This record gives sequence, C-alpha cells and structure tokens, in this order.
Amino acid sequence: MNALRTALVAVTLCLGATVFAAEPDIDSPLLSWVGKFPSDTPIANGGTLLQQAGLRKTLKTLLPAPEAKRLGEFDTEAPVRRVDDYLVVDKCRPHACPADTATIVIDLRSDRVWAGFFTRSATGMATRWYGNRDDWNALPPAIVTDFLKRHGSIAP
Amino acid sequence: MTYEEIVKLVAENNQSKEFSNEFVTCLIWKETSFEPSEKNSKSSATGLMQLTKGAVEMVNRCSPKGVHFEHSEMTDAVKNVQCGTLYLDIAKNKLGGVDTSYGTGPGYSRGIVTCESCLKSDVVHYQAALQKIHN
Repeated sequence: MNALRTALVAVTLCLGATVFAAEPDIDSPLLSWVGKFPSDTPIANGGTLLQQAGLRKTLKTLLPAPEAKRLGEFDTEAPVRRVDDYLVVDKCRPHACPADTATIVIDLRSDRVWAGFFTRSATGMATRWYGNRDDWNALPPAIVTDFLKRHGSIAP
Repeated sequence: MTYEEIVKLVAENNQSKEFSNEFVTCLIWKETSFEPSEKNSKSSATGLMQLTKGAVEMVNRCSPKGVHFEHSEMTDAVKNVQCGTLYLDIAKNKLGGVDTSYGTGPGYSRGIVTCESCLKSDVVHYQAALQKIHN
C-alpha cells in the first residue's frame, strides 16, 4: 500500500512539474538591444535593430510606403524595453514627439510584429496599428497603455 | 516620467528668468513626451529637453563661474532641466530666439505657448493642455 502511495505521489509530482514548468528562456539576438537604443549596433557588423533581416523584411511588407517613410524620419528614440516576451521600440519625430510617434512591438516567441502610429495636427488626429498576424488588441495591455500615454490620449 | 513628477522637477530646477514652469513643462512634453532617456540618433540631442553638445557648451560659456554641465549628464533629469532652462534664456536674449535657436524655426513655440496658457488657466485638466502640442 505504501509503495502504491509513493508511486502515486511521484507520478503526481512529475505531472505537476510538467504542467507548471516555466517556458524555456528566449534565445533571440534581438535581446541584445534591451536597454540600448534602436539605432545602436550591439552585434558586431550587425546593423541597427530595424535593419535586422527578418524584422526589416516584415516591416517592409507590413507598412504602407508613407508610414515606412514616416518611421524613417523618427530620429528621437527611447531605449528598447522588454515587456514580458515582447520587445518595445518607441520612436518619434524630433521636436514633435507626442504629435508624431510610433511604437514597434516584436513578439520574441514568434514572428508576430506590430507597428502603432499616432499623429496629431491642427486639423485632427489619427491612430493606426499594423500587425502581420494579429490586431493590436492581442498585445499586452501594458504596452497599449504606454503607447497611449506617449501621446497623451491617456494621462501621462 | 508622469506629469506630476515633471511638474515637481521643473518647479525645483527651472533656472530661467524668462520662461514659466508651465512653458518648460509643455516644451519637455513636445520634445520627449516626458521620457528622460530619449536621444536623437542623428544628432547629440539628449534627455528631457533634448540638449545638444553645442547648447551645453553655450550654457557653460555664458553662465557665472561655478556653473558647469557635462553633455554626458543630460540623461539626468535634474541636470537636464537646469541646463536646458539656462539655455532657453540664452536662446531668447543672446541668440536668434527660442524658435530658431532651440526649435525648428518660426512657429516652433506656438503650441508650447498655447499649452502654457491652458495649464495656467486650468491645471486640473492638464491633459487637454498637453494636447495643444501638434505638428
């Protein structure tokens, strides 16, 4: 009876360990940019973050030409952040940061990428989200909240 | 940083004799959305008020003995606001004015002045004031 009980406990523990095991660590070269600027080149001869081959290709497919051009003009940038399993890249137009801003989000566990843009002019405002697999509402709420705070749609 | 943190920071560190705390707060919002570690990838503009090496040098040249800043300190929010607000007065009084010597040219400060005016008249609804900054 004791042997049976011991075996049951062992099986239960094994199953529990399987169920609750943490996901494996992410091994992505893009993690080299966490805490650094998107335009930094932390990988020798590797270019900037947005020049990384997979990301560059995805953004080229994802963004309409005017948005890609706009993103290229956003020289003001914050250090790259990691939020859960996502990299967050914040860029904006020099001298008009809250009025012309973009956030790029990269899912480190898949090939999902999002690009959010916000513009405010004298005549109106517009928010645009582009995603290669999912819409913006698949993003962690903290990332969406930070995007809204950066342009003042919710209190900064 | 939050709006409340910026208001406190500016109140404690605004060195300008010409520009109000509200003006400086609105300028910081326009430059960096209150993010102290922002940098420009194509110039040396750094920190809350996006101060360039040239601006920091100008402040050091024009300020009384004992006042000295290093450009490498400009991601420090306190130093940035102290140096940046000294530079604002230099831009206004000794250079071509804030629009051309700090910003992008004529019209640069228009939204900032509108934002400043709104903040002074209704500090409770500061978000509406900040939204006066546009392209």
